[in-house]
Amino acid sequence: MSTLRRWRLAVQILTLGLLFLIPWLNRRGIMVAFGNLYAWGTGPLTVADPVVALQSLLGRARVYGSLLVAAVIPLGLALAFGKAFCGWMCPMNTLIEAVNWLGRSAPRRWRLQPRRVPGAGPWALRVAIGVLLVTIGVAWGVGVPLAAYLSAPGLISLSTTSIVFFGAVGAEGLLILAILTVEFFWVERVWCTYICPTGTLLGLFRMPWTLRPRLRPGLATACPECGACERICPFGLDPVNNRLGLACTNCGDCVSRCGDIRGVLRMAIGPALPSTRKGRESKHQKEERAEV
Amino acid sequence: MQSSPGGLSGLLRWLFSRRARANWLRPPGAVPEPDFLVACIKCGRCALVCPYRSIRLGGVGDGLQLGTPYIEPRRVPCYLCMKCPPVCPSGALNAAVEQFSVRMGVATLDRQTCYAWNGIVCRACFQSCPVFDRAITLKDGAFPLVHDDACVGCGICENVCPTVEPAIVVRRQRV
Repeated sequence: MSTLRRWRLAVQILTLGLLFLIPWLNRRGIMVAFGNLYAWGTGPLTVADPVVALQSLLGRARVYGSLLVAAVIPLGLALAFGKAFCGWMCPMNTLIEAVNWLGRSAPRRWRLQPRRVPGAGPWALRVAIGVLLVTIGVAWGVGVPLAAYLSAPGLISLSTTSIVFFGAVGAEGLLILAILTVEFFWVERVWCTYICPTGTLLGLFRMPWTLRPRLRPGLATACPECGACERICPFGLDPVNNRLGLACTNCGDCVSRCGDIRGVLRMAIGPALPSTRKGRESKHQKEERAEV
Repeated sequence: MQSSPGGLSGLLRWLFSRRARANWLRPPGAVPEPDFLVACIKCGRCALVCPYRSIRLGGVGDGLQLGTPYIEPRRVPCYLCMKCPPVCPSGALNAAVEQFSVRMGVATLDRQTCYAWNGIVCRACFQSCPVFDRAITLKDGAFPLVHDDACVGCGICENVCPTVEPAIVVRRQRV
């Protein structure tokens, strides 16, 4: 396991641990930080799930100042770090990664039609943005708040808080289990790519300079175009050609994999990259052309 | 863009909020109900900060009320400590509302089942009411009367009422 993967796993496990530790401390009256992944605060500072916050801001006639700040903070972080929350902290992503890994180790015949979702394909973009617009639109137009059901980290953290703080097990876990079942038996990362509106909104804030896997400067010609980065990417993206769609969660698996081969990729914030390198086709494009 | 209780949104809310339509009391300072559902961001901070564990959060069975706070006075009433409105990040609980200006609901007394109104000496609700001698007064020194204008809807009366099914029940205000 590469260093990057080790660090990411540590952060993922730490986040899962905090989901139980923080309500446990709250139960003992230690309120230094409290909330859940819908909105969470320490002292006067609150950070909220931007989609749930947007739903609240738009659904009412007035803008509530502290909520606006709570919504803007994760969006500002997304400008710098992209969907790193998804790749490094989101408990749903952690569970999905575990389930996808288990799924790949399971016998072939158990899985209905195991395949990777094309994270940079046109449908990924259309469906993801469509879900986001419907979620916000329904709240804004008819005042029905759907976002709470579509925020998987929110549901998970609500569940853990409920278990630890109230001693009550709710049915939210069943919704999560349903999604994980689809992930295990059918399509990998379908939730993150097509549905999660929070992830989609964070992905829309990716700027040219935002953190992402990049070719190391001056090493463009050193890339042997082996396609290993594309194959290892859980979303089927194409990092060397900067075709990351909305889906890239900065998990760094491509960087780790390339490090074992040639080491031309690194995770960095930096200047804008062209979408295709020197007009050359990506390996994926070549394969598509060969099929036709 | 205010949400309206009628039309499509009303239908959807009715479909998804059966239990909540019954009589959920919201924490003190809550904005009126159609707005509350949209305003609340389900963070649970009000429930976490409540020192009496009065506030509980809705579950999946409550439909759209998932994650929203409610108080069941018969279990644990609200003691008006007012710790919850300041921690609400979305303004679903208005932090500017004063303790005795709160309107979580209004207590309604059933004279058929009330001990006092049936000749048994009982002053439980009168004595425990935090808006003392204003929200509940004793007519002729013996018969409790609720005054809607002063009642905050905390539910302490409902909680202490000695009858098996409380004779005094807090009903949420219908907006």
